[in-house]
Amino acid sequence: MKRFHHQLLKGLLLFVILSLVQTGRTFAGEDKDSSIRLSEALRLIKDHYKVDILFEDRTVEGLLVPSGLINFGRTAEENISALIGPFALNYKKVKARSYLIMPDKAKQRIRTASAETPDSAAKSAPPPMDVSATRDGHWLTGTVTTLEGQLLQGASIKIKGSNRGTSTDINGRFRLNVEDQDRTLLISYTGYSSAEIAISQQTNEYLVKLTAVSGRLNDVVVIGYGTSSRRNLISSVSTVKGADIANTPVTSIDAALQGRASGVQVVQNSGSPGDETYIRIRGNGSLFGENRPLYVVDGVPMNNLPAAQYGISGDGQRIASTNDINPNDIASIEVLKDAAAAAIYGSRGANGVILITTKKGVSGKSKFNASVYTGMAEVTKRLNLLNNRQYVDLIKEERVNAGLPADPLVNYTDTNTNWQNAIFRQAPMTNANLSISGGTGKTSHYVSLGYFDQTGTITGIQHYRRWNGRINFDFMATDNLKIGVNITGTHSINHRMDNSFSGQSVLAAALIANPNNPIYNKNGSYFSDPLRRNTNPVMLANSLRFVSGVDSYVGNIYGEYTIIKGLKLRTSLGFDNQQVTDDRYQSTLVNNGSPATGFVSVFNQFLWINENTLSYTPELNAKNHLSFLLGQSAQEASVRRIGLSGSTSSTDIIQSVSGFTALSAPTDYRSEWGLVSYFGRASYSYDDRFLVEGVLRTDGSSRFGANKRYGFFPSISAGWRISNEAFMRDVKFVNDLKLRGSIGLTGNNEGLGTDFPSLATYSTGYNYGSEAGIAATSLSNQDLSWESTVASNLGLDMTFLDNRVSVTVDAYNKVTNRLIFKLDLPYTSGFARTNGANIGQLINKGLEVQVNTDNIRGKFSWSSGVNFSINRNKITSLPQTIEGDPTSSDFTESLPAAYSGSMPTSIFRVGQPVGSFFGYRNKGVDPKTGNMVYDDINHDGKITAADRVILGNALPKFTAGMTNTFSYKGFDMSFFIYASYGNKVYNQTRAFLERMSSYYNGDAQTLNRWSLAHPTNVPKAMFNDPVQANSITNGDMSQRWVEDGSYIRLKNITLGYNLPAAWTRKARLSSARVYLSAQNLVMITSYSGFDPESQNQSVKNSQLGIDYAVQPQPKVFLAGLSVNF
Amino acid sequence: MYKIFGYCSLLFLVSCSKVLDQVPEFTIAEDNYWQTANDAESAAVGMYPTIQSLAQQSPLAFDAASDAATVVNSANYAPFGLHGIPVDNLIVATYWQNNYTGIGRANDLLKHVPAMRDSLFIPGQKTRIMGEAYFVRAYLYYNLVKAFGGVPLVTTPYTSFNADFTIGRSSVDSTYQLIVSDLHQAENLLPQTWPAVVDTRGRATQGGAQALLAKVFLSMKKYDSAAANAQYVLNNSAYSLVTGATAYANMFSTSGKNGTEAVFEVQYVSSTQQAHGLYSFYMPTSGVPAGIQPGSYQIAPTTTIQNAFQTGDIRQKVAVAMSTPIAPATPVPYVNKYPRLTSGTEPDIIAIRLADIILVRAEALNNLGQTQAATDMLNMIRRRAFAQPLTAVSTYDFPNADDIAKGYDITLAIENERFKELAFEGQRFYDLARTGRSQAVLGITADQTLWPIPLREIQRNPRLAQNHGY
Repeated sequence: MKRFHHQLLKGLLLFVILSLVQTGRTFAGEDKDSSIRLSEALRLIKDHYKVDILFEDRTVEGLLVPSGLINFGRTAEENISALIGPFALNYKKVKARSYLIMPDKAKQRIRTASAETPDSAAKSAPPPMDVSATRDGHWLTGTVTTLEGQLLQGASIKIKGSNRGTSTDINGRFRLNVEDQDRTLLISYTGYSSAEIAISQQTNEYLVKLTAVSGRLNDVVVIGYGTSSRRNLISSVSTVKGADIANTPVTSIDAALQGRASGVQVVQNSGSPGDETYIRIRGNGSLFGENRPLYVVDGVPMNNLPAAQYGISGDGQRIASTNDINPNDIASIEVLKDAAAAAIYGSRGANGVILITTKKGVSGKSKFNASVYTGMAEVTKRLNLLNNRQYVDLIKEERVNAGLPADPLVNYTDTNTNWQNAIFRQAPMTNANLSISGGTGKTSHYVSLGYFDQTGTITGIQHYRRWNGRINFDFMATDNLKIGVNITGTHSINHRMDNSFSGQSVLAAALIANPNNPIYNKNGSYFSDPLRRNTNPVMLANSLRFVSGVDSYVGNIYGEYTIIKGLKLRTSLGFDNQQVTDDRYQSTLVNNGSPATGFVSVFNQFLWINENTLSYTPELNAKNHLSFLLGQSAQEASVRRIGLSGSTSSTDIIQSVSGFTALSAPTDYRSEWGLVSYFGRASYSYDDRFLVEGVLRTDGSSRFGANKRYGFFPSISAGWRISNEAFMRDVKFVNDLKLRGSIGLTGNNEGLGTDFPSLATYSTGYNYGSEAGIAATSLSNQDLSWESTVASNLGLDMTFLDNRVSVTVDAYNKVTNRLIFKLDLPYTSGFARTNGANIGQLINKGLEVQVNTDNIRGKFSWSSGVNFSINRNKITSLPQTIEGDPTSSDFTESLPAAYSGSMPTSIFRVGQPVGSFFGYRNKGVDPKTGNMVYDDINHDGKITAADRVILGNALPKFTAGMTNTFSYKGFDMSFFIYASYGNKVYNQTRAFLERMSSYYNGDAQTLNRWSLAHPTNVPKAMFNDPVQANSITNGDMSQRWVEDGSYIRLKNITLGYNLPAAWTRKARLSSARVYLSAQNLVMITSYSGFDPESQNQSVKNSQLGIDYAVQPQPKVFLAGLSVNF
Repeated sequence: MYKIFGYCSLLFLVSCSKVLDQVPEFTIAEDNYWQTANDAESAAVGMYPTIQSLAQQSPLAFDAASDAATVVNSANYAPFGLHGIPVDNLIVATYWQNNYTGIGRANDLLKHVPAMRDSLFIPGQKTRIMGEAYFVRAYLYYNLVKAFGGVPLVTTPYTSFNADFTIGRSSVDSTYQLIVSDLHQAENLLPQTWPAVVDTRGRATQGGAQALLAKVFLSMKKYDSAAANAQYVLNNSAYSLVTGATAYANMFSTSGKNGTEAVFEVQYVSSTQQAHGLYSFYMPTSGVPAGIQPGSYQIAPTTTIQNAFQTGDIRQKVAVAMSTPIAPATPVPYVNKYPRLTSGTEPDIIAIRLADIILVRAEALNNLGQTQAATDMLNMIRRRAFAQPLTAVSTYDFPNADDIAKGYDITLAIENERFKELAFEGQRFYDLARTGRSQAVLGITADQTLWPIPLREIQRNPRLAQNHGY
């Protein structure tokens, strides 16, 4: 294996050297004109569609058109109008299948790229300019607008086949010198289909109207190490444009992806600012490894380690690297879903890959954009809890039922504190961005600054702020060498609240708080429960310091050298450096009178990557298209964490550990890993009908066992453009139809908790008295390697009804073999479990549908996007320690039993999906005793752990997203709905609110509690609910706490208005838009808790869908303004 | 220009092979270990934390099952008191785990240390480390055989995850054979004392090996060997009974750690490092002396143990104290042997002490028919308990008025003396089990004297047979 790699390396070296020796023979960019005569083009149409086209030779004499304008996927009429559109010509249908081409007086001086040129265009056309033609060339001028007449600033105008060009100014005007041999102008603008206009000798003034993209067939799609067009794509890639997410008030791009890409499940873990978002592409592919996708930002694979992996932030909230990216900087996000798309990322591609491309400057005058939005967030839902008297009644009854004397401290009072109202608040948020983009002929730049400020919806110090800066700069160092840099820096400060399973969760403390307690004492100090039965939640929210600071720098520098036409060598050096500083301080007050405690931790991860690729697109003939990519990559990542905790009883003034009287738990964790890879891709298409592509990557990773260090990741995909077949010629309503399929292999090497999982290791810390001890901590597994996923995909892309409807359907099957399973070993081995062994298998299969429609076109327009995803997950194999008994490989894991509830337990079991809840099946309340009766599944006469069954599953049966966009004149309106169906939620919040076994407050359900006179299905209240020999309680984990978490949510509704050009021109602006937006306005669900979507998803892979007093997502109202100048 | 650019890319191409060779800095890879004497020494120290972890469970689980303690409120320990231990009981599983983790570490030492060059070590160090490993392994197997009967005997460390981890149980006899053989090895390899007192008490010694042999032989009913080994310990000048009420109480406090009576004392430090936390189970929630940490009172002493002491017995207050809470709360009795200070300082747990060994010898001699010699041993403990001179005849000597009133013969008197002397030190339940008295005293069957093999183990190791009755 190693030898092979050396061979490959040598070969690659030789190739590079040879290419370099081919030195000076730099081919000038020869202008291979693909234009043909208009008469010839019309003849082709005539032959193809078997129609008559009549014209006088004089009319079309000397006119040239780009051959690419002919598209047999369209109707004859469309082709004719596309061909003659740029000229002062018109056509008339004289009879069936017969057309007459004639000169058009009205269009005499106006050239338009739009097929549906409105006749009124002539009126608004500027007067002709003076022609100052010279021998070397002459000047052209023009205006670029939208179909509606909106002036477009920064549209790019290029002369086809050259590097010459310009861009439009604030008034959408351009001026360009053309030479005699120049034939065609290329006009492009992001979000609009590009236009080609033949340069006519007759006119020097052009009005260009661009059509907003709907079918997006010609969109450039970013793929691994390159680009493709949507039209020719034969792998499964979802694209989300930056414009769609820029003004969404979320802290992470993951959250912004929710519902916008089929096959991507996104769950916003909570309404806490800065919290990590749960994201899965085509299901959960790993049990113990990482399930999140690989993120690649402008070619740099991002550090994907949540800091919590190294022991920080034990409250369940993790710091996610994706929060460091400013959504306003994003040009597009591509989600690589199938193996054909992801195999080029080899051992890291199995969970899918998210490619983030940031904005680039466009040649032309600098364009400024300033945008700001501000608004208010609020949690409006309240759980129905007991009031002061009901609370006292409950506790009294608990004591009586337990045979305990009444508690003299629990008495009726006049105080009735609504603790939920006391902790929730209206929370403002603001986002501001400034960007400058532009360029000259040889350079382009994009520079931006961003600020995001979000106050938490829980009172006190909860607050997230983020500052972003970015510089993207490219320049042509020579005619053939392009150099570029992309650098972004982020600084954020998050004053956090404890959330998941912490005894200091403000929300949990507020729910269980005794309503008879006041918030404040008469002297204004915080009221503190004399028996310390619970902590004052308002005090906690204001006093517990828990701050995470993140500093992140991601960037790369690259050079791209065109050796000969079509052959490019690209070298890039990228880096990603993230530093997370966590500190926490619990004052004496927070600690209920015990000494103050705290910790500080500095976590740093640094990654460098060098990649060299050679891409070659030979020029063959019109029917055969071929392209190659060959590449090599090396990367190294290191992490370091330094931490210290301690306590102090002296002062709360100094909250840094340096003021602590006792220090403990010093940590200095260091680790490194490296990856060396070679990869290649070859694509071939024949006659625009048959497309085929093959990818091979080989990865060597330092992480894995000596026996399994290298892996191969091939994929192959093929596509058939049916719409270009002869038999489809008469099917007029279909514009494009493509069938594609792929199969390939990808891997997953992330998330094993250590960079040396295959080694037998010894660790320090096994001390005895004052003596330092060391002990073996893991068994070696030299065969340990990445999880390997065989994924196949079958897809159909279809555009029909005049490009109004585009449909993409994908069906896939992902089989993850060599699944890393932490095999529980018999303790007799000396170890509890292995670090990981490749021994399991799981399958994800699913169906995705994406439909985009232009329902109404014209002045009033309405377009919709709907996506729908089904994924089915199933663990198909785990090692069975008892032959034939699938339950012998059960792996259960529990979360802490906070606030006297039972421990929420989840299970991995063969034949079942991940995210299964595991507990007892209750048969209701015994009317005689008031105790919950549990089902004795194994009929051994006892209720034991062996009687537990699977109670439900947290994974949704399907998810769907729908966007509708309307526009009329300057107004636009859009709304976005997201739905999740069939997901169950384990309502741990309710489990402790209906526990009735301690001094905690309960919810309204407890009013229906059992009594002998009034038997109900809610068990009796019982202080210290009896601990039986088998420790089963009335509140034990059962289907009682499992609820349907299906929901439909109006995630966003936005109403915007583009100020009229007349106004903006006066203000010297090129455009201005104001908008109002609301988030989470409406939610339809039967879930009884705060929010079925907000769950403790990030704690462990096994434990999905558990709602433990999670801060719910708020309703948000925003107003925003965006101006271009 | 393009040349420079090309050469730059070449440079990176060449340097990347180093990327794959990473060495951990945070942990030690196996290949880099066992190189120096310090490695062996650290590994020897690394065995003891498993005993530390066990020491919490063994007094609690065994005493909760005895007639000395009753479980007030503890989900995990309640089943022991009820003698209905579920097969998935957490304590049983972690007890099994801790013992085998320690056995694994001892096996690791026994495998690697002999292969290390002698010249690496200072004289005596290598043999002593080997002796410690044998002692620890025997100690842990003895724990297992007491709780489970015969167990799987693992004597070499597992090195790869690909090994066959299934292994059947050996008989009780074979288990004892291994324990005895290990202890004989340890006895020959270990020093009598260490340079530091804390090690003499806290780590393995020749005296410790002999004391454990005495206890093991008593369990095996090899009374002559038990008596002989107990006598070696008695002869050892390192050990002597502490005398007087203050000194006796001190033995169980944080200020009296590693006294002369301790043969093997498990070392603890503080609430934040190396803590056993027994205070939390035993101490009441309020009404404890100043400077002592209140607990959550999950396990309380029974009236049986409270009434077992005669007036004037200095051991009574050490075993069971009364709380003094503020009214209206009422005083409660509590186990007072493991008080943690509010400063966080944790007392030690004395796993083997001289008084135990003296009573072992008494019992062994009694079983050998040497009643007078046995009575002498018993009286030594009696006299100390009433602060009498150890060598002078006393009114508390057997048979005294109390013995007669209760109808105790010498056998029952020794049993009862162990009950009082070693109260809440995890001895009582097993004493009754090994002497066949559990039926009479606790009303339980022979099956109930053994714990179930943990369910998890049976699920992971199909060759493991469950104990009868589970």
